[in-house]
Amino acid sequence: MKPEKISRRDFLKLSGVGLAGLFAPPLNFHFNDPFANLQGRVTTRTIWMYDHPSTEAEPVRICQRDMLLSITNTTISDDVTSHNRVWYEIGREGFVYSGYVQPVRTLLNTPQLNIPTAGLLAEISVPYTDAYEAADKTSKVAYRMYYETVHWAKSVTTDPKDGQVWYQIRDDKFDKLYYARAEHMRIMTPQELAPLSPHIPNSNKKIQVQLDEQIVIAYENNSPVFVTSASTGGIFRIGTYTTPKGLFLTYYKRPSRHMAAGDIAASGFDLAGVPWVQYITESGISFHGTFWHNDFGRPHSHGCINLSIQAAKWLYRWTSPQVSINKEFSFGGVGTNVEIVL
Amino acid sequence: MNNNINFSRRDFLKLSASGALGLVLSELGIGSALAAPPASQGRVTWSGIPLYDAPAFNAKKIHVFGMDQIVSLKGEVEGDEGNPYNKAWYQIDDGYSYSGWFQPVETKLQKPIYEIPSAGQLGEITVPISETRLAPYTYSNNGYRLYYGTTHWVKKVVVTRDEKSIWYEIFDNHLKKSYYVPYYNMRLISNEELTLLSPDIPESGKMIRVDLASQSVTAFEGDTMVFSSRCSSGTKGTRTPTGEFLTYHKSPSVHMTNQGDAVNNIYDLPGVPWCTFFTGFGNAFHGTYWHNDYGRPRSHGCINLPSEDAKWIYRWSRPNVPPDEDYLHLPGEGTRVQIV
Repeated sequence: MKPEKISRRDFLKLSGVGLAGLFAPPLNFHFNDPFANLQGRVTTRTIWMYDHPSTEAEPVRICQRDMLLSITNTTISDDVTSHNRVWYEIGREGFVYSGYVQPVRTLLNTPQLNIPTAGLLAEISVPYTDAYEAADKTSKVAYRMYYETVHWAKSVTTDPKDGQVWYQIRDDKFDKLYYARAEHMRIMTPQELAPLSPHIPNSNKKIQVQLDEQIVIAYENNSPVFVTSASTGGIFRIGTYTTPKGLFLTYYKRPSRHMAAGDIAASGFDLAGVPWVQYITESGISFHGTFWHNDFGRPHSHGCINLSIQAAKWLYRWTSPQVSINKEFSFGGVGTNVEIVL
Repeated sequence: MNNNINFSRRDFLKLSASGALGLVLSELGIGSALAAPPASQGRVTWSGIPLYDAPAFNAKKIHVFGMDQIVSLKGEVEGDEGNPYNKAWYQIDDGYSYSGWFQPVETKLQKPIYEIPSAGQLGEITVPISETRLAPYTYSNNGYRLYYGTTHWVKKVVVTRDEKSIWYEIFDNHLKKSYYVPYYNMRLISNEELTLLSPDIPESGKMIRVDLASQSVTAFEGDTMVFSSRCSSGTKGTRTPTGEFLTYHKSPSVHMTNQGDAVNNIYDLPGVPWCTFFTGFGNAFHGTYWHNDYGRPRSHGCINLPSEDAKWIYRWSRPNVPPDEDYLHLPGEGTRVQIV
């Protein structure tokens, strides 16, 4: 985009970027409230909003999938036995249980007009955007991509009709190309994927998954450095999907994977751009980021270890092998030890 | 030196918790045999600590540890060398290292607690090392490091909505600054753990005697000895004063530092636990996480004690600090302290 061609619309777009930048967490100085711009996306078909943070409270209204709620505060329910006591306060409207609400932001980006042939890794920086079959808003939508999911931008095109910039994105499962609005995708920088604790030898790192507690602990030299809640496999109405116990290695890592299996009308799933995937078995058991629920602390998966996207990214950066930012995967290197226990 | 010791080493062992095992062993005549270590892990308290192939300083060095390395303690043996009152060596891997160089630590991860009183609550680190953050966010810059057994004043619980991580906001009264500790590294201390010990004994009936020559702290109720521990008092240039004092101000957690003073030997120790002050110059009984070398003078005038023992003194002596306060100052009151 050349400077002399900036229209009023572009200007608004760019000032939107500036504003959003203001709300990014101020990581280096004393903390105020970086959450002022935070919204919640409903991740499941329907959830109830209540007048108090409790499922026993009076229901206020029903919220459908992909509805955006303005989160004003975090509250804690009185139910001390719950695996997840966090509820979100939605202004004066009411309260929703946090387990099926994905915290999201809206950050618009200046499109990058030079994309190398290997492509660039990008994450969705708006609550959701659609993958189209052509660089045209009137074309058919293939699927929806959600906040902080990760995709490969392969090239860039501008629609001559309306000046809209599109990235061509590659679906790694079906090997197809789709198009997404460039301003909705943030190109990732090498700094944010730099290895964590590179001075610690890989043999002195270990990840422990405790299935009973549903937590994941990262150890450096036998000292815990990172702990996060997780959702592993379990026994559900639709079938038994347990996470195996034993010793494993993170031998196969990729920043993004379109995961799909089965019939989505029944127990199947179709999840585009699952971020920060680290496989530990050939059957596909992996650690990965999760955007379809936020209910860590109890089993939810088909065997995988679901983590919040932030936690999955932390582990991905911390383990071996390191995946360079322009590579789609790293396979067969010496992985980091993983121990899965009850 | 011997004249100053009113009880034998055997008696001392009987009374100190960690020594109880030593007593059993010495009665069995296997004093130098392997005993269970005081904790499952040890933290190396400074850089360049050697591992020897036998429990002696002139044995062969087989490895060198760096500061803050965490090692598994396999056992404890009585060596011939150390300080005059502590000759315990730890067995680590296939070698031995002197116990005074290692802080005995455990790794006990905690569950989150969401409700804390509005005035705040005391918390204790229960892992060998916990990093802090300057903001309640995983990728925020690190603040200072906190060590096992240190105590901190938790102001509030923060749930970060983006990543749904849970943090305790601790307030450093010296720097007037907040830091964020991951919930799993810190145990919140209940009010029951802070009540006065032996409340039926009047103030005049309690007395703490510090013997600098034998580096021991003994507590008496009337004429009965109820507690004894080895300590590390002030070293050359910063001797602990002798005389009669009162424990008139106390704090469960103090950031101790001499930075800004015109001294060469700078120390900066956040979260020093269980401080029972007896002078206006900062001399106190307190817990210690930067060494384990009790029996040898090492401090800047304070009486360094193992944290568990410092906690006992803190709870047993008067005045008792209410659980919702982080400092109590009552000049003219307190339990008697006699330092000889």
